[in-house]
Amino acid sequence: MTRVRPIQDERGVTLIELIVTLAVGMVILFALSMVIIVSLRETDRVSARVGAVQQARSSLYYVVNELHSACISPQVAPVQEESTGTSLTFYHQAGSAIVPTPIKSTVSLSEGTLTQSDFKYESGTAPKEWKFAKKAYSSRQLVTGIGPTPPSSSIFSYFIYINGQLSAPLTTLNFETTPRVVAVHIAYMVAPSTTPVFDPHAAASVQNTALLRLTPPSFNTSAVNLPCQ
Amino acid sequence: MTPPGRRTPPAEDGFALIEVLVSALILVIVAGAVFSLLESTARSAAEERHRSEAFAIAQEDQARLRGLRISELSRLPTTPRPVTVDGTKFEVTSTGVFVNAVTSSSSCSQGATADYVRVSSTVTWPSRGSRPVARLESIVSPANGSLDPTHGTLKVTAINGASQPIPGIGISGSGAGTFAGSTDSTGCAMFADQPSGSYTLALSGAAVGLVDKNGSAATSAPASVTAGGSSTATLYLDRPGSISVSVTTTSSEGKPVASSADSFIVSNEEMSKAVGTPGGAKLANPYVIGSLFPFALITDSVYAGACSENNPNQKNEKPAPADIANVNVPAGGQVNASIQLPALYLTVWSGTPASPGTKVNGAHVIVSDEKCTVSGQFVKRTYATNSSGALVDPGLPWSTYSICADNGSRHQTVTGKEVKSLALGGTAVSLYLGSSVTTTGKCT
Repeated sequence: MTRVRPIQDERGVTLIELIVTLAVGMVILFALSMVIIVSLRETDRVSARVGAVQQARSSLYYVVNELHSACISPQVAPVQEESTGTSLTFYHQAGSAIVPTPIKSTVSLSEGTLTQSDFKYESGTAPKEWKFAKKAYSSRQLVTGIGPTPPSSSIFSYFIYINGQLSAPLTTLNFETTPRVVAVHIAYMVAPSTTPVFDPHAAASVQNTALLRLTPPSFNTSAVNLPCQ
Repeated sequence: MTPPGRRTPPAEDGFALIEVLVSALILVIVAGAVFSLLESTARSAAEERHRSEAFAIAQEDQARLRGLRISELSRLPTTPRPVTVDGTKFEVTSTGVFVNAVTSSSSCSQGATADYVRVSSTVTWPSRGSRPVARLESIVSPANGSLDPTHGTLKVTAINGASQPIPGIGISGSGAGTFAGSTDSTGCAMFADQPSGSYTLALSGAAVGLVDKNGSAATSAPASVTAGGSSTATLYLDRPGSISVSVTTTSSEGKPVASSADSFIVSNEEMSKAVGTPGGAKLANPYVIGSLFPFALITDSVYAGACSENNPNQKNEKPAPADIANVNVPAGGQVNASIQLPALYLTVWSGTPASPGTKVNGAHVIVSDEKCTVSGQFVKRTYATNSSGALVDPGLPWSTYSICADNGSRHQTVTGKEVKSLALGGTAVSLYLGSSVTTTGKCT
């Protein structure tokens, strides 16, 4: 049989103590919730950045890989004259065929979206006589939310050999420079698709260069070093 | 036990507040830990971002290097190239090294051919700390026509007296073209695709304070580049060593006495070095011959005299006679050598062989080395006889001499006297200044 022990001490807390305790408790709770909020935001921000980098990089390597498969014939100059700082048109093909059927592709930037359009080969044997369909048979978005990396206003730039050295980047091509384009430089920034907080540095900038030559240039500085040699 | 009813008033010591403060403190510590965790997460995310950007830059640099001429690949600047991406300053260091296809090691090693150029791109960034750099390597094959047929490759190898490689020798070549570099850990420096012709290599860096095979300060060396080929220039450099030579001879009584020589020759298979003034003032005894190249496997021979004809060991016999010392010079150190000179026991008499008279004090004596010429002149040593009519120091370099003594007006000469014997008694020569056997005039 248990016996109820008499209450020995009926001392409570004073009102002041209670108020102070509550106030401090509130402060602590606020701080705790801030910690959680900030950490969640930080996690979101990091994953948004990682996502942007992944998007940027996968689209960049997609185009670079196609450029690395651009030398489908020894006489071909893969980059076409209509290429500009925001649009790249080139011939390429991958596969096991002895004589690959070329594809003409245009990768262009329009309103923050990089789109690739492919054009079917129609006729012609020598690369200069190749004819392609006017209408794209396939068109797909490579990446959205991209733009040139400041201070540049173009995402594609082209290089030719002048006196045995790569020239300054060109962003427009003409009938003289087009057959001599030996390297394409691609650089752009991709903004995260979702932004939990405003983060001016969240955009990921990526860049790479595809060299359209198989051997080093000639020792002779006056030699013309054409692509796909 | 306190009886119920009347109780003492409750203590108002604010115990609860302290509890709250303590718990707040604990929370602050916990929050700090959480914050530092967050910060380190963000930092490692940034680090990963930097690393992947660095690899992207390295990849781009590889594309750039593959677009360069071979001549440029072999002369890439050693200073890093800055690249700024997303506000981070990266530094790219590009190198191009000719490698051998079989060993895939640097073509600088002996006998290796230069088949490919290994291009590497190393990217560093400020927040990297001690973490590894981003580095990519690939191979560029010099295709037909990418190398100038009028150019060639020069390999410079620096080795010391023990045939070990010397790294860090700064080399700048000038002549048909110019180039600069320094020897690597294998003691080799390679200068590819240089215009053919002859060059002068100016040495610096680790070469300071070293001597070449001839004992001269290592400041320059010749080299030549052949068109369409590979030439090798081997630099033998080491810290200079020295030999302390003490010279003795035998007195007419057969006792060893200190002597001295006016000149010495140090020679080996690779070089010959002469010190002192033949026929001039005697050198100190012992005399230190400095600035010698320390061959570990080649023995230096030291003998008195000014010509190879003074070498007492002409047939290179072993063991060598006592009038030549064979020593190994240590790098940066000194070795002792002792030489016993053959003695000429000259006696100058005032009379004739039949009636010698007295021993002439202060007679003028010229001992001329019949085998050794310096600048087209036979080496002549001048003496004055002592009160015994003899030479004060009878030691002479090993050779054949003509000996002349005069009294100021008349002289007598004997020729073909070999001073080569180390035996007691040595070579004894008597000269007579009596009028019936002399010729008018002084010794010349």
